[in-house]
Amino acid sequence: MGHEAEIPSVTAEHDQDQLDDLTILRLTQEIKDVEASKNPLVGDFRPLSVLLDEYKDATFRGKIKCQALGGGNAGYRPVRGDGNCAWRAFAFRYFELLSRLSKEEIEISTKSLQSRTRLLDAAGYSETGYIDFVEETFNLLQKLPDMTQEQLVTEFNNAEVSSAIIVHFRLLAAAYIKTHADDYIPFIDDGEGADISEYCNRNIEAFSVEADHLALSALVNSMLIVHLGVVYMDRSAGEEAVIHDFVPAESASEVALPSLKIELLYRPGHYDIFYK
Amino acid sequence: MYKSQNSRTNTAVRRLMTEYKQLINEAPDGISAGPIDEDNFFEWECLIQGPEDTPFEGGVFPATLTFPKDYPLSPPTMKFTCDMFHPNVYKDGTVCISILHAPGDDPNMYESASERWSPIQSVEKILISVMSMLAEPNDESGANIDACKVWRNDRAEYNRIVKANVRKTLGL
Repeated sequence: MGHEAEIPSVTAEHDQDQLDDLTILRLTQEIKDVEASKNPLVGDFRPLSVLLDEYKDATFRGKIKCQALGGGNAGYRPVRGDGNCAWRAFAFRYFELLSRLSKEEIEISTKSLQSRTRLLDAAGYSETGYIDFVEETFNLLQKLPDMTQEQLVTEFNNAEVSSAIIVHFRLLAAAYIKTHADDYIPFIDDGEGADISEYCNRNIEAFSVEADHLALSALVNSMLIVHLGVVYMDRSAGEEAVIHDFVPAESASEVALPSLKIELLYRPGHYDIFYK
Repeated sequence: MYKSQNSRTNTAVRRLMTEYKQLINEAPDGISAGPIDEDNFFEWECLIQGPEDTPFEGGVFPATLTFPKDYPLSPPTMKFTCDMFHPNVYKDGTVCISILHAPGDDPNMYESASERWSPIQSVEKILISVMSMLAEPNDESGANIDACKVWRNDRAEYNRIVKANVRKTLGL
């Protein structure tokens, strides 16, 4: 992603006293975009020692936890912090893990994911609204058996491809919540009633909105074959990183389906892919 | 053999063509929209009829829709190209309603209960929202402060200005 733009200059274009809300929003977004575009959407694998180096002068508590994780071949793959990081990290790792399976296993996993499209219909999404995103996922799955890891990284750094897959996965998660509302209402109800549609609209369907705990739980439930572990490298007490496990509520009916274990490394406000 | 797909047709154009076809075949009452020039799918013109039983009744209001290159990940912007006196329309014609903003990208943070942009929204949903905005202004998230004040404090004057604009759009 070599297109680095200049940080937009306020004074050159605008009289600072005349900035209206819309202009301020636009300029703020441009600054964020420029900052984010300095990193690839999906980066290369790095050993955890690289991450520790970033904190070498800091007193961040998470550092201790990172040290505790750091043995053996542990490492991470950085993902751009653009509000989609958890989604992009999950999606990339999903494809990466599948790519190591046999062609037959990829096929059967693809069929399993195709069968979940019915969730989108059950949730009331129009096919016009979702079809382009869903097709992108299945295009890439179809090519997956012949791809090298390097080519997969290249595809994920094509924003059109990985963003479409992210929207597909976001819609699956939101559709799961909408079709299992009773399971989720207690977590969404703020005391003044729960509006599932509004929650999904604000927190899951919209692009560039960070995934919260419910979103990740719904994503795992919607996909059936993925177990997700989130390694918390945060400020909480203790010297060992806490790992939150997300296990699908229903399991796939086909016995032959492979099971994938995805791990994400969480630092406050950001997710990368974790490898150990 | 694996081949990279970097040159594939832009998602935005494909989606806009689909939406355009659907709007031609089954446009909702009172709304029409399409590209100004079919060589550029990112600039549309639309016409919105003023809703019945409102001072906008009888008017036909032209506006432009400008789509970003990453549509539908991000929303379009909408701008009336006629005189429009309304609490939720800036003086330059730019429409300010929640569906045209993604969550967190909203100058009026307090319009809490309303629907935001996401990739499953559509031009049709935007235009339907704009029609109901004409019928029911939201004076908590004002874009035109003068229009907000007049609408709140002097409804007869508000109706008079709006009706004068209606006559202008009809060339009277």
